[in-house]
Formats: sequence, C-alpha cells, structure tokens
Amino acid sequence: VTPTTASSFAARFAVLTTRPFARALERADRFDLCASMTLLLMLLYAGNPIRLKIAITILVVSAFVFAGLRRHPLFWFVLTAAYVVGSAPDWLKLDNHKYLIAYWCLACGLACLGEQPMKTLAFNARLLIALCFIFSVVWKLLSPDFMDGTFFHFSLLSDRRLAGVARAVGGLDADQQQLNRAAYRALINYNSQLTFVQLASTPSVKLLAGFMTWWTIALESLIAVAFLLPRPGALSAVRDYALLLFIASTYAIAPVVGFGWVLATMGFAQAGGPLRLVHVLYVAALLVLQLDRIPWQTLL
Amino acid sequence: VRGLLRLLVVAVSERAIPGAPGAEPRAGALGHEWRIPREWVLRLAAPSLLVAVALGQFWLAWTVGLSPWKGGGFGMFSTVDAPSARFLRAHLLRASEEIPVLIPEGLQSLALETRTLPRREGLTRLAERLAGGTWVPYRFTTAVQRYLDLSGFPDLSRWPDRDPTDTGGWSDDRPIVFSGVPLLRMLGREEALRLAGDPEAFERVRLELWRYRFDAGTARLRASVMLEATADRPDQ
Repeated sequence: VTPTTASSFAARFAVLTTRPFARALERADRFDLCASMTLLLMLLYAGNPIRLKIAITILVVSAFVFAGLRRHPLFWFVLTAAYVVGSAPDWLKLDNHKYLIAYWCLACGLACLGEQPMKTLAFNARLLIALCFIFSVVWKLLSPDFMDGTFFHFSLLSDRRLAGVARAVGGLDADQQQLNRAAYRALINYNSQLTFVQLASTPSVKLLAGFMTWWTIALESLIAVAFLLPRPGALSAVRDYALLLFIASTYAIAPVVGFGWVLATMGFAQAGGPLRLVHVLYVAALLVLQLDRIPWQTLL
Repeated sequence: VRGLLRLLVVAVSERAIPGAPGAEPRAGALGHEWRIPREWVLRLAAPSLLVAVALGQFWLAWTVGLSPWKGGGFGMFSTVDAPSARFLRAHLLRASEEIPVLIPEGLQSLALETRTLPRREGLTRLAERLAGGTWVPYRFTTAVQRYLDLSGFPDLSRWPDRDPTDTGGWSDDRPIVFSGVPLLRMLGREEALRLAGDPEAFERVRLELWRYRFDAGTARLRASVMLEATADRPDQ
C-alpha cells in the first residue's frame, strides 16, 4: 500500500464515518443544539455546592424532557437566576469561566426574546468570546511578571500540569522537580520562617517560558481581534480555527474542561451559515475535552 | 439603577427595532424622548454585564489587591500572584513564646477569601476567630481507640487482634511535637464543650498574610508580608 492510497483510504474512511454525524448536525435546529450544549454545560460544570446542584439539575432535566422550555426566555432567566444566586456566596473563589457561563445563560434567554433567536445568540457569542479574550490579553499586557516570562518560568518549575513539558523540552530532571516542590512547600508551610527558597532551573526552561509567553499573547490577541470584527473579513476567516487551536492547546495542559466547553459552545453558536467543518470541530471539541481529564502528565 | 431597569423592561416588552412597527419615540419617566432599539439591548445586555464586572474586578485588583485570577476579570494565568501565592502564618503568643498553628478546616473558607481579597478587616476577623478558639495538642489516636473512647466498652480493649506495634494505639496518645514545638489544633464548638482537660494557654494571636514573588533572574521564590493583624484572647 503506497502512502498516497493509504491517505486516500483514510480520508474516505473519515468521510464515511463522520457523514452520518454531519447529516444529523445539519438537520438539527441550530438554536436547539446550542441550548442542549448549554444545558449539559450547566449540568456538568455549574458547580458543586448543593444549593446550586439541586436547582440546576431540576431545571436542566425539565428542559431536556419538555423541549418547549428550551425556547422559553423565562426558563433561561430562571436558570440564570438560580445559577447566580447559588454561586454568589462564592464569588471570590469562582473561576472566571463560571462568570462566563452566567453571561452565556443570560444571552440564551435574551435571544429567545428576539425576532431571530439564533442571530441574536450568535452575536452574543461572538462578542462574549471577544471580550473574554480582550480582558485576558489586557491583564497579561499589564502584568510585568507575565510579559518578562516570569509567570511561565515559575509555572514550568512548580506546576505539576507543566511537569512533563518542563522535563521533555526544558531539560529539568525528576530530582530537580522534586527539589522545587519541596522548596515550595517549605516556604508556605505553617511553621516556616523562611523568606526565600532557591528553585532549580535550566536555561532551556527560561527559553521555553519566553516562547510560551509570546505564543499565548499572539494567539489570544488574534482571537480577541478576530472575534471583535464582524464577518466577512480577513481575520474572521481564521477565527474559528484560532479558537479551536486555543481550546486544543490550552486545555490539554490546564484541563479546565468547563471553560473549554463554554468556549466551544459559544464558538459553535457564532459560526453561522450552512454546516461547515468548524461546526463539526466545535462539537468534536466538546467530546475531546473529556480526554483532557486523563492525567497525562502523570503518565508521561 | 432605576433607569437601567426601565431600559431592560421596555426592551423586553416593546418592539422598537428601528424601522419596525412600534419603533416610535416614547416619552420616558425621565421627561425626555428616548427610543429603545430592542434588538440592541438583547444583543448587548450580556456583553455589557461582562464588561461591567470585569471593570469592577480591575478596580478591586488595583485598589485593594484582589488577586487578578479571581473576580470575573479574566486575569487568570496572567501573573504569579494567584490566591495560592498568598499564604497565612498564624502564631499563638504566650509571653515570649510564639507557637505556629495551622488554620483549622472550619476557617479555611474565610482564610481563602482573605488571601484572595486581602483586607485588614477580614484578616482581623480571622485573627479574632483564631484567638477565640480552644487550642489543644494534636494527638495520635487510632480509629479503634476513638471508638473505644466513645463507646465506653472497656472489654473491647482486650480484643485479641490488637496490634502492639500500632503507633499511638490504645492509651498511647502522645502529643505530636515538631522541633520541640507541639502541633496544636483548634477544637470545633462541640468538641470544645466536651473538653475534659485544660486547653493550651496563650494571650493573643498574630496573623500574617504573606505573598511570594518569583525572581526569574536568580530563580528564587521570595516571600514578604502583605498584611498583619493581632487579636487578644477574649477572656484575657
């Protein structure tokens, strides 16, 4: 079998296996798909406090059973209110994507009030993604310890999620990583009197940190600008792939699956027009994100 | 706030898309003509909320030291200064002695809030809670011993499967000591009421909030005090 025939066979196999799913996606009501993705997001990643869990589960299950609720603005407003009231006591502990989920849920309700719900939802999705990345980039540009590479340098030395990359690319060995973790624990321990500890590093870690810094700034800035511009435009053609690249590259390392899920759902919602590859990729991203929960770093 | 609410109510209840029927100017409560492009409200309400919260988070971060990672401003992964980079060191003070203590589980939530949004009032409140607590030495107590203590069945102590090598089993409930300093724990309210012996004596609590920063040039992690609070023991 030559490489050409092998790749042709693989392509044909991919088309045959994905076609039924693509057809199903094409036939489905786009707003209903977005609503279902959002409901699953709420069910799986809204949060753990019992005051939140009970209300969200009741509402989400109701909307899955009674399809009409998924297009009813009042349902979405009640869901948003239940989520906000349940999460508010923990506002200082919540990750940022929990806020984004609330805005998205509200946007679903507001879209139901519009003349063209899907169009309104798509507009909200595009703007929410753009704003989320704009603020993210602004914070990074304003943080001296991000811009000079310090943040990623420290993360590579101390964050378990980056331990595999630090070993493979940064040249740190297991003993150095163990020393760094011991130093960190010694500094923050309750009976410590230390004011500083020395971490083990390598020149390659510093180089890698520099690359990660500029890669992050470049990709997030591209997403922010591309999603801010309405279609059609030069940047808008690549924005979906940029967002998918961000989801794939970021959440493989920092598995914040809820954040990836809300971004993929909003990405799917704003990608208008007839079914295209990006629609399929956004749905696939929801599934692939689950694989990020496997602790790859410990398996390396 | 009233104006915003009115905007939302009108946006939800009226059809005022420019060019559409019902888009005529309306007399508002504020006494002047205004028209609500309903579709724009539906499109911009959620993003505006995001902007408002994010700007509020910016303000809190720059003015009172809220960690950029929290508060809905999307500053995560932008700085080393995460809530985990801020840590507490608590000491019970007794004459010239300083006994370092762990923040008890029941106060961890308050401690995390204080680390995330460091305010003097919050730190003082936490110090007062620590000063008002009953502190006793940690002791090795096995599950079997605890069961025996609570059940009051002394016969069970003669069970044949007793493991003589079990550290701290049965009556051997020695305090845990690190470098000559006993490890103390704060009792919960119920536990404190049932306490038979004397609690650890102290006069006040000193609580320090520290923050580390990473010096990339020397690869050193340096910690410094952000805030400090003391609280006297209530019965002193």
